[in-house]
Amino acid sequence: MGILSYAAKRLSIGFFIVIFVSLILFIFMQLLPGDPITLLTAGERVSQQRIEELRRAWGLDQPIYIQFFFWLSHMLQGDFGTSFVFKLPVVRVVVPRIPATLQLTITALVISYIFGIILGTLSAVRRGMLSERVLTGVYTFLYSIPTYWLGAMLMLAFGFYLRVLPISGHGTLAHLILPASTLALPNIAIFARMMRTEVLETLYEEYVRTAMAKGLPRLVVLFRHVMRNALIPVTVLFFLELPWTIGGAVIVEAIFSWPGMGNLLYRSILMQDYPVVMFIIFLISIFTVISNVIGDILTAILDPRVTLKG
Amino acid sequence: MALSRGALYGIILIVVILVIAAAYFLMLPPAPTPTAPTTPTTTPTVTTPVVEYKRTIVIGTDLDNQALDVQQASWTTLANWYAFSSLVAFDQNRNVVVDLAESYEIQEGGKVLIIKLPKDLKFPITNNPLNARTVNESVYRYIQLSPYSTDWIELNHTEIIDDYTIKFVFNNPPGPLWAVITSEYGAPVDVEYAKKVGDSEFNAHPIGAGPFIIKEWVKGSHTILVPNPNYKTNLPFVENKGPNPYLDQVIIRVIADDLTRVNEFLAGNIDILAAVPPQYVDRLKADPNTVLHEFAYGGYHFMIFNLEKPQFKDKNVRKAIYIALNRDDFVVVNDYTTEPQYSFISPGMLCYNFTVEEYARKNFGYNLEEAKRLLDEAGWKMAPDGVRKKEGVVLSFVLDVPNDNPRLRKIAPVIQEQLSKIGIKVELREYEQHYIREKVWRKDFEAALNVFAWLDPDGDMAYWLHSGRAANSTYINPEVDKLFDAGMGTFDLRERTKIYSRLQMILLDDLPVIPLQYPKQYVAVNKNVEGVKFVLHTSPYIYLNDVKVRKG
Repeated sequence: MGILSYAAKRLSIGFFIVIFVSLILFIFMQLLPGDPITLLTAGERVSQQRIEELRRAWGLDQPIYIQFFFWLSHMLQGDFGTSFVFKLPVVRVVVPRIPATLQLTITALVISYIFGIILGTLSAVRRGMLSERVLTGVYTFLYSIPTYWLGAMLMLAFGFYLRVLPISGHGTLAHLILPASTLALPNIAIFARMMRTEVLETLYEEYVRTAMAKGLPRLVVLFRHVMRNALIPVTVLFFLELPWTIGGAVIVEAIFSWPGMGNLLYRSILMQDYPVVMFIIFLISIFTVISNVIGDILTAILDPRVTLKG
Repeated sequence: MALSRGALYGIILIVVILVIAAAYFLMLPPAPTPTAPTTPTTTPTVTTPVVEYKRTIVIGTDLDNQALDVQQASWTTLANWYAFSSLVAFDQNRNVVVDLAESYEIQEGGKVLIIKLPKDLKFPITNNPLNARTVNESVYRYIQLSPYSTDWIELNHTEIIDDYTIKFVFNNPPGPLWAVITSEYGAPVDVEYAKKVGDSEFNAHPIGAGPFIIKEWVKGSHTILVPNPNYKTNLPFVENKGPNPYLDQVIIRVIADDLTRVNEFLAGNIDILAAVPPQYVDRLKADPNTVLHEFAYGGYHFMIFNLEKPQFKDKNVRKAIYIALNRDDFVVVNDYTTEPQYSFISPGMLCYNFTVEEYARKNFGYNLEEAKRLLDEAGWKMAPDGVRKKEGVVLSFVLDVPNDNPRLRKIAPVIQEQLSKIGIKVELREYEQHYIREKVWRKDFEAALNVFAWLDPDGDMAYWLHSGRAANSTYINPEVDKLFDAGMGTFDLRERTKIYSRLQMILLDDLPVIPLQYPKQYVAVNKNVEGVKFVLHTSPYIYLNDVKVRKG
């Protein structure tokens, strides 16, 4: 099957998956205790009668299926509604946050990818040696560290005590280093472990042994034959990890006051701002579908053994 | 000679360390160049060091703006307050003074309020006049748009006497209205501009008459405000009545994480920390570059009972619970960032009466033996398992605890443990604060912890305790309702204090709710900031009119 027709078929199936995810999310949001109106006015001088008026004005007194149908029909026309909290169109609230999140997650993934490849390859070629055990220990340690603790330690060390980097905020490359590192370091283990496995598998392939037997230098064999094949699944993993990393950025964005989508999603869930939550999850779902399709297509392009089938 | 693997790794490690060290030292500011001392040829003169000031002040807070248009906001922030000044304000002694207005007058026992405006007030950017007509339209826009439209419930009509004088006529004197019109909620807005661009656009780019204009809002990050060139105030406690000549901009940074926010302040990147997390109070107190200001919260924490539940029908049970709670333990567990509260109006609220608080403390203070005696008298006998029973019913209840209020959450297990000493079994269940409020309104609770969060006793308390205004209230006392109505019906704060004092005495007898503690609020100011003034509303208002920030 051609790439374009494969992509079209997968994306059209993906659209229905996105709608289904939206429906499940909508139901879960309704199951949360309370509603956005009492939450917005909690602890203040508002009568129950006024709350009922606001509930009616926002359509929250309607049955769930009507609310969902209303949202869906408007969504299909490109209208994602108005934020309960910000009283602004949802698109206007969310879209300005996307670049910050993409900047953070892509930078973090690139760092994880590069260091994961290096550490994974080193682990594989040093298999059984002390250095391999040390490397495995390092990236297992990084994988195990709670993100909040790691971020807080990096912030204290480099931002507060050494004063070489900004503690928090956004706007310059220096602001990006600490949050990107916090997000990247645990992910290095994921890429490193996969790279190690792939390199080890490829190292024992016949063609590699033939190349070595022919007298090619070890490094040439490693870079030209082994890594070239081992990189295929790891590169695909880059695209598959991208949507997950966006979700994982919530904590990092909160620690470093990074004005991204993850922080907004977390706060919108707490405030039960359904329209914003629905739109963000809608975007992440689409992003996930597209990333998976790109991953599949990339696999087919890089690995001639793989063919695309609908 | 080929290097061994170990040597190679060692060299790589040393190079990495050297690179990091080089980067660190390169990023340090250059050391001042020492100059050799010179022999003076003339008599040295003493010169006053020139103080340099920063043109930008940075304020750190935890909560981002919800809406920039204060009339559409469910909650407000400093940015709203700086952009929207009101006609009148409280001073440091809670006297009502003029702000934008030239004067105000109360007539007919509070049924009439007349406000006179200066002749030259204008909004920034549009230069639209701020006159009686604008104020009139602002009020009606607020009634139409705001979730708190009932603030003006007693308004009968308005009269525009002349271009700069407006008369408000009320059905009854609206005592609680002071708390509103001295806040940003009572501020006039550029209604002409709002009508022109629509409410949604006005919410994105609002125009008020405050000392600053909102220039930029990056959601989740910061708000930048610049001085309003048309700003004119009549506040008596500020020296500078116009735009602050020492500031070009105010940056309000939103940093939700407590650790990050405090570290930014201690590192000198924030000049004023508006939302000090209680767990960092001691650290800030110990910092030599910090001046820590402490305020009482305009509200307090309480426990409310469902009086339809059999275990709470008897007043003696409620009284036993009240006096079995050692509030000093609450203070300890909250690291001294709260104070005990015995009466129904805390020191941070309007109409606080110290005499009533002392009376409550003396007569309802911690007394374990008396609590046990009261329960014995009520027929609740101690069983071998340590829990009291009466006619086969166990004296226990479920206590709903707000999981999003750290200071209430901390005292919940303390309450549980203290009540176990008198044979009451308490099960704790956590929900969000707003959901607990809903549960109480549905009578779907046994007992609950929550917060009164407005400085006027009528503002929030009435919606819990006035049987006509609280939804599904389990507490019905016509005398209390009458006193709430009477307190609402006068502008005179002294008179209102007397009324609410009588109301509190009845509540002390009935005990539908039990006061527990009130939180303290803190604002940390860098010692380089001069001239900052505070007025306590529900939260402290930070006046920047006379502020200068020294370069440190």
